Amino acid sequence: MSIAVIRFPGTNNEDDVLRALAQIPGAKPYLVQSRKGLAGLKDADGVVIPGGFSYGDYLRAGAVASVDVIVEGIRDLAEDGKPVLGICNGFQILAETGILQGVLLPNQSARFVCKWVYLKVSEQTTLFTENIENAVLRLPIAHAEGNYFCPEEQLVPLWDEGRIPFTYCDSRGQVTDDANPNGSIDNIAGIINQKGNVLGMMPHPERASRPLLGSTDGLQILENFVRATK
Amino acid sequence: MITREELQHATKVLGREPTKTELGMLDVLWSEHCSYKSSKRWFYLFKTTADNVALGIGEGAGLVDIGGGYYVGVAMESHNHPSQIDPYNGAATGVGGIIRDVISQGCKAVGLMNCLRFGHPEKPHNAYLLENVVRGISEYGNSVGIPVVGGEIEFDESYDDNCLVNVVCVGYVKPEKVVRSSARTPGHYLIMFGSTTGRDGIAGVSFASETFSNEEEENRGAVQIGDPLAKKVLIDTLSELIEEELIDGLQDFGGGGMTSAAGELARAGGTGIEIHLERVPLREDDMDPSEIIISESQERMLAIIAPEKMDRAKVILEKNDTTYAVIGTVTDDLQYTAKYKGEVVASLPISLLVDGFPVPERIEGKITAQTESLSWFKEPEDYGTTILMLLQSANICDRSWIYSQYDQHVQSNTVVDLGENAGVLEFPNGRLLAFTSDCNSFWCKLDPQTGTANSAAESLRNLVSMGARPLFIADCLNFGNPERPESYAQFVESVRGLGRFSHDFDIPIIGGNVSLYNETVIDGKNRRINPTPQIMISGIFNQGFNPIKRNLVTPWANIFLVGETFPELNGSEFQRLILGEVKGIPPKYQPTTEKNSMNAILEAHERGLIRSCNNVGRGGIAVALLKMVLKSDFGFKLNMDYIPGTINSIGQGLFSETSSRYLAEVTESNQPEFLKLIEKHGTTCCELGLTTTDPIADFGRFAIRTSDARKAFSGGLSKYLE
Amino acid sequence: MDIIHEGKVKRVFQEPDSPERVIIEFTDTVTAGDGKKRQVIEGKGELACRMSEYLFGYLEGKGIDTHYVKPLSGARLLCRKVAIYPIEVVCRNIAAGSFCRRYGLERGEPLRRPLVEFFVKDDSLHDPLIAKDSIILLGLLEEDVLQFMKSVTLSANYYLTELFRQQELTLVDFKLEFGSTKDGHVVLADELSGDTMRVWDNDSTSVDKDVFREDKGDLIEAYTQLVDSLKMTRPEDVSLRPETVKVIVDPKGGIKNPPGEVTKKALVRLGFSDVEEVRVGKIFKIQLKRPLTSEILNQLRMMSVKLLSNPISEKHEVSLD
Repeated sequence: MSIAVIRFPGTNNEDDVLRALAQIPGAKPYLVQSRKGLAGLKDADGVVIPGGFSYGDYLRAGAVASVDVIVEGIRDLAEDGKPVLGICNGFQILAETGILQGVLLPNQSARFVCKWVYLKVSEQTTLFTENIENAVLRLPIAHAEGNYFCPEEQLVPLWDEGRIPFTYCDSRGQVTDDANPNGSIDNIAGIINQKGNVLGMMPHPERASRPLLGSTDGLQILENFVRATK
Repeated sequence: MITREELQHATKVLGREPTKTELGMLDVLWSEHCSYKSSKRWFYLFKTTADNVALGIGEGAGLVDIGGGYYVGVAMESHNHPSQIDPYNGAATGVGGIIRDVISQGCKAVGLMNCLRFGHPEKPHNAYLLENVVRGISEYGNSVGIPVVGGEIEFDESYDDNCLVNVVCVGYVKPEKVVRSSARTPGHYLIMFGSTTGRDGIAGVSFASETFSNEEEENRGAVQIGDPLAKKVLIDTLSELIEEELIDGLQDFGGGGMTSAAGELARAGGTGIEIHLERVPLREDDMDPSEIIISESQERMLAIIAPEKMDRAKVILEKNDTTYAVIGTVTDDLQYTAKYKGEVVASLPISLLVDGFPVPERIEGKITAQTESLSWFKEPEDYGTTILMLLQSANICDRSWIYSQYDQHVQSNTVVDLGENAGVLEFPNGRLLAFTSDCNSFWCKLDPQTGTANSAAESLRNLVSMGARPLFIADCLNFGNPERPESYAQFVESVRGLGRFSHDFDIPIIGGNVSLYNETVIDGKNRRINPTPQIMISGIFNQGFNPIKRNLVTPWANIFLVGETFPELNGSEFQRLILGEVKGIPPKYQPTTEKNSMNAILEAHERGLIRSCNNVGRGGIAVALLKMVLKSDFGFKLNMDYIPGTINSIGQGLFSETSSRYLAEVTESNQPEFLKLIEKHGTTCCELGLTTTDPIADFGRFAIRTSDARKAFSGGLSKYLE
Repeated sequence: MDIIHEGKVKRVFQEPDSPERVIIEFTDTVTAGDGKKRQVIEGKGELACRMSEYLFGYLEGKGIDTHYVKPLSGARLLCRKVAIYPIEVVCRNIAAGSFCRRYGLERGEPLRRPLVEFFVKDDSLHDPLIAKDSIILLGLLEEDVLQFMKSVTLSANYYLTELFRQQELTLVDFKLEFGSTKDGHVVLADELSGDTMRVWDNDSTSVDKDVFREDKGDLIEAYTQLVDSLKMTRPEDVSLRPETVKVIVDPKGGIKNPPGEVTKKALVRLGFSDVEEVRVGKIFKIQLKRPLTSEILNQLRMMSVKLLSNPISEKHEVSLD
């Protein structure tokens, strides 16, 4: 269960992800610098693209990273059915490459927002949400461009095919406007691809994986991911 | 600008007139910001040593041993003048600079704090400054990946023309990996790396050492531009170099650029340096040597590396795609020699350049005496409305509009978020440290010495309320023009206050900064900031202790008020709201009482007797109590009639800002033990009442719905901001 | 050979072996005043041809796409086959000719910066001056093609001016024609000779067709002087001038633009209440190492879609202004 954790210039959550994965039995996370290119992904059973500000987010969040050579390798792994998890900037990168549909626009408030949010897990089982269907999870977010958008013709199948595992909700699991921290369409906090093996999510599961940090609700998502890399 | 006296002195020592380049160098190093020439002479008043202080004031960061093979490091700085001109870049580069201070000591940076002062945000210009300073800090810190763990902000019209941006960076380092800021061995190379050098920030420190006048626009060139992506790469590169122990000495390029970086390294090492300015990688081709040597372009470091380690260092620098150049060598001639294409453009004795300035005369004037009179005080007719007004006040209300723009969780070490009394981080040795900062500039305006000591005490109470023991202090002293006796007096008195506090409580001051000249002449009138001594204190928790927050957590528990309350409403937020100004003698500093309360609370925490705790500060008991229910599911029912002390009315009891007081939530079963502890430590307490499950804050004679309180609290700032 | 076009002074033949090639023959005819003045001067065609060969070759060397391929025997050039655009472009550095008449100016008044004008290529209309918007609205050419033509014209102006300066000659004004090849590349076409430009020596004496137009001297002498001067120039001494293009990225209509919304509120708060809506986009200023060609433009468009903009939420536009 070798898991490649990618670091682009400007990525800054790679250590957090490595640390969180390392506590899961069987997981073998290792750091891959993007400049290693395709060779860096040679033995990967799964890939995590962590959060941060790849290439400074100078153009659009994730845009420059999305044309990095190593991303073609990630695309290949995704097509092969290997699990791929994009967290925050990772989600932005996956969307820019088209591996996941849609785009992450600037937050409604046009400001960076860092706070704890509640996520409603969808009813439909996905690789990442096994055993936590319908749960209400508490995870932190920290982003300036997390406002998910996709055109109607993509949104409808996302719902129909059960590819929206996480939506922002209140502490009781109600999906409301007040609970939406960034203006995402339909309170979408994460989506998966058609094959079901690629998840992009704006909240940070690795930051909710130790009791000392205030929540371990993110651990289950990571455990499911690790299990799927077998 | 260098003074005539200084120029004469330099000429005398050199035996000739200084060259253009040399003048530029003296101008920056003898500026107040770099030289501390008006302030240094008072630092003897501080307690700066302790058994666990590994490195005190003097280098980039102060270091304290926290056990388990780790030191915690801290640096604190101001970036006030640049932020007034260009708030976004001024604040961003302030953060960049303080990170560099900490990493140049070899530390890994793990937390940031920022302490801000602005005029009231109802004036659009102040809102503009606030929004952009916050955005600058946010975008820089978030990009580099260091969480914000603390901070505070205060508003007063005295800051209209001189906003304050003080920043703190904390980190950790293993003792064997500490890097010193000195050039010790002649023959070693000077190698600079990081970003290229341009014209940004030329003479920034000189600019920071002058008061503003209406010619602000011309100062735009003096602002530096930060690049967080470059900083992140620099941090990664530096940690590789340090890991392999390739660096003999290290200094970052901060205020004064190359002049101070190389100068201070030589000074600390008792050596000299020779540099070749044409080797400096430039961003703009046509810079002349006098510009290169004082440029404050960001994200640059200066390392001293032994010849036998150079090859390996170059491999690492190239691997990380970092621009670098070997610009010179360490010499034994005690001179700062700068050459440009073979020609000597500057040759100054290190002892003259660094600290060789003639000590300027400074006159300590008189502080206007204040009265004790409470003749202005009228008992409020509607306590509830008054309290809601206080909650909404810009100096008390919710700051989440600001801090939700800061990433508080990156690096996954954050145990307590912003919005509590202190931020708490887990360090790699498993210990939890708390960080808080405070300064009540209104108390300081009325009595700088008392106000400073009491501000420090408030900072201390923030830590103690969570269960942490104080570990060290860092400070940033923001004052007016030292050449004006009254302003200088405020500074000196404040130093006396902080000095007293550090000795009274035995807490070493291990880092800090002084920012003077925060005064402006507008239309012929002089406007000076309130004396603002920002006091950051860090505390450490006992192993395994879970920090206690301030939100009520148990129904039917007792709420105790520890400490006596006196009618000290002069200088209070209540007075400021009612009268529109502060006057009179501010709350007294009471070191003995303060210590007794502190010890009582700390021991109570140790024994697990306290469920939630808050310290009493700005806004008095009323605000302190409400802050305990704002994020809680509970309310309380109290009786305010029997508060110990000498107050004469409910109003005085609610709003007095007497020091040394805490509020503690103690369950019925723990009450006896708690009371015994109170007695043991020689302090008093009284049971105010009980926590309830109703969303009502019932003070006995009146009640406030917690939803109304929340609404008032959360609307205070955000209504002015976008 | 099949003749494709018979012009006033040149003939265009289809190259028999290459369908996308033509042979341009320069005759000894010289005309002026909209065809009213006409004369055959022996040797003129050869000189005009040599000048065109030299100048096209020079501009190609600097990176400008032209129709020129190689010289042939006699007064002929092998060129790429293009569909000539119905718009001519004139660039003026100094007031002369019809420009003076139009606005009542003195011959020789310098212009602060080069002026680019468009004319309709139509004998029956006497090649009138035409405004850029008219060209677009009459459907004669698209805006992006016009911008491209203007950009290349200004580049050509710089390179020609610098070249002539080496021989102490001043490029006063010149006319360019453009066309598109089969694969859609826009290239410089027609000729570059004394017939199509005004060149003055140190005394502001004409060394071009004005000599014929205004009966000021011997045309062959003037053209020979021009060709000889050109032979002595050193193209390698004219340094490449960077060209700037802009890519403007705009949020698509109908998509939320939070930065715009927040900016609007801030403007209103500052007292600017007449604002209805604000949308925030980006401008990329890209400095190219060499002059613009269709190839470069295509690449730029690809980059705009691939990287500079996100097509889901943004539209983009290449601006050469």
